[in-house]
Amino acid sequence: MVRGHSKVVDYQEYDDHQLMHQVTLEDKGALEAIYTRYGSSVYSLAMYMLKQEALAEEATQDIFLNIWLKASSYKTDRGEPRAWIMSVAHHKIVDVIRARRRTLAAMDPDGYETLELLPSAQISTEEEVERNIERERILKAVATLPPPQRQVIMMAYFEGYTQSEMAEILKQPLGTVKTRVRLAMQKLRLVLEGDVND
Amino acid sequence: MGAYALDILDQEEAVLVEFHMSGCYQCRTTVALMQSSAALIGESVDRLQPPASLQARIMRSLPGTGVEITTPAKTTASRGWTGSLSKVLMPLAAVLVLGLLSYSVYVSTILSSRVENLQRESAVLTRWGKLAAQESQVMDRLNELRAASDFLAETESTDVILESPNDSGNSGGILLVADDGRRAMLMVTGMRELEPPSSYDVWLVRQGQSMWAGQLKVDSKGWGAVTLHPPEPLFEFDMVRLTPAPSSDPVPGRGDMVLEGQIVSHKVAR
Repeated sequence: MVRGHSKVVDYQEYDDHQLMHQVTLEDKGALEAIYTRYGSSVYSLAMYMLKQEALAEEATQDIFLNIWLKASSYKTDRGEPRAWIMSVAHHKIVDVIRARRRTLAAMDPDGYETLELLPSAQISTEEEVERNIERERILKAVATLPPPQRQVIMMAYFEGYTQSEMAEILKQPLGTVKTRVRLAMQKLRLVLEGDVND
Repeated sequence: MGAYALDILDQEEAVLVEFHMSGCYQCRTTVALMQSSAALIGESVDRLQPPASLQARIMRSLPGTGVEITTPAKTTASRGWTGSLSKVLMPLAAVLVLGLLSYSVYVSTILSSRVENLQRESAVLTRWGKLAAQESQVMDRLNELRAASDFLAETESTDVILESPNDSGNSGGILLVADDGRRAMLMVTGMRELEPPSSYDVWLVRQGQSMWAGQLKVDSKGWGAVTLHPPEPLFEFDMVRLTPAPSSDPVPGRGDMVLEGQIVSHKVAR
């Protein structure tokens, strides 16, 4: 409910673009609605990457504070709000990882084989089905990447390693790592453009 | 761009990509798609429910969010007692009020002066903003200033002042060279705008031999900027020179159209 107004606003009727716009107008109800939609995704990613509940909670709090403070920097020509929110989330989590790299347990670069899907309790069935379909597409696309490309994508995304760091860890030339990243992201992009048959 | 979407570029590289994307719709679209891919990877992990209290903590942490305090209704139980107490408190309150008034006048004077300065700056910025809205090339210049600002914030740099060798006109420039000499930002002012598609050539001179290093356009105000990425460190050269590009319309007496500066390595910490 929007405080001070006699009319009750149902934010579930707003699409993500409308909610982001409302956040730029400092509408806290809109931010709560965004949290309802994406809080679970953000928190899940934070837990997966940070592996500590307290850190994940703190990171999630900082992420939504960043969303509140930087909503005006979101531009519609830079993609969907969902991608922007997850990008803000990932950026923050990677910052935490890089700052605490010594204390966090390193994941085996080959240990990304299973990324299971669990239903969220807070979104409608129709939305969940749609998201699961998209996740299936991206997971299949990732699974079909050649192992070296899959490895660098996972190390980059879930471990927050820069290209230089990956080159050092994998004992590969920096150019090789950059090429793998570029090819992998191009293939994943094609999945979203629908050029790859399921 | 894929590396940018994954957030694995060095800060320098990320700034360059963002600078490029600000002027390239195709690349922005490509990066947006790649970031969508990255977002889906992020959303593919095991879904966990955050603690129920987290949402409230987030909302409390927002700027300007305060805890509401309700004051209880005042009672009249102590009416008689306040009579004598007021004889002491009233003069004290008067002194406090006078002190606060004086302080507020002082602060108000300071603030008024500051507001006037800000209003003048705002008027300048407003005029500048209007020009930017009318002339798309000025937006390019703002982006270049931003890149220069980032450059200045990040690196120790060597400053090379460029002047007209004929010591005429109001043209001048500055070349900011990064500490490794591999990157530099050239900014010029007071230059004459050349008919398009002409521009100025940037040359690096060593022992009398000139090597072309880049091209720069100036706007109607005589301002121009370009980022240089020479194949060799700039400190290997003796001089940087700016000349009109060969295809420009020659104008007699254009001594102020040429700038040059000696490259001497001395670092300036920012």
